[in-house]
Amino acid sequence: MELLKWCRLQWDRLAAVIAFAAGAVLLIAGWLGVSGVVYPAEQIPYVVSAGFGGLFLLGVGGTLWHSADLRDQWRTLDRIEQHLARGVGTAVTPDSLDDVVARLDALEQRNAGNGHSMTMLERPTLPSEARR
Amino acid sequence: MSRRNAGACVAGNLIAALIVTAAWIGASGATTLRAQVPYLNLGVIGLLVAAFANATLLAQAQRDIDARTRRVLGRFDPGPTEP
Repeated sequence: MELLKWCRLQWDRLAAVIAFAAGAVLLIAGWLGVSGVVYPAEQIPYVVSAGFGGLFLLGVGGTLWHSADLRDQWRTLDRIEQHLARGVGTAVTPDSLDDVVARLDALEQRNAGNGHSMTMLERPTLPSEARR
Repeated sequence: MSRRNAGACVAGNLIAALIVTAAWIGASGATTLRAQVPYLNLGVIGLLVAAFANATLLAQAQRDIDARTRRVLGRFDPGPTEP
């Protein structure tokens, strides 16, 4: 049941893994097919079908996986905005601010890891940080 | 990432798959290398269409996330700065 739940929640990552596997199988099949015939005119159909098809599926898999990463970041921003919305009109404690800062730092690190540096954002210094 | 962007990406990938399939059918029906080369080029075009559709979707999604992150960060009060 846990696996089914994970599959339902992470359907795009599951589809990415399936696309990666299918792409790899197609590429290997194309390689075997090409190596089994002598004439280039016989090899070209293997290149177009299995070679290009495998590359196409690898591209689809990569897109799905990266899209899942971006969706995770979007959900993190959802949680931060909900957190901020709960804080409106009430006293914001240093602990809750630290929690938000920790989440933002994690998001920035993830973005930096993905090659999308957010140094241009120039995050302002928070009161809780200025006191440190 | 909006549904419209995702739909455009799916449509682009479907078109690319059709192009690659047509290239495969054409290449396997030709008997000489000279006749197969145009279909080989058609297959490359199909891959480029798929790459363009995927890259457009991911770039748009990344721009949306960057804009929203800036919006969220803008809600923080900068507070007192160091003298």
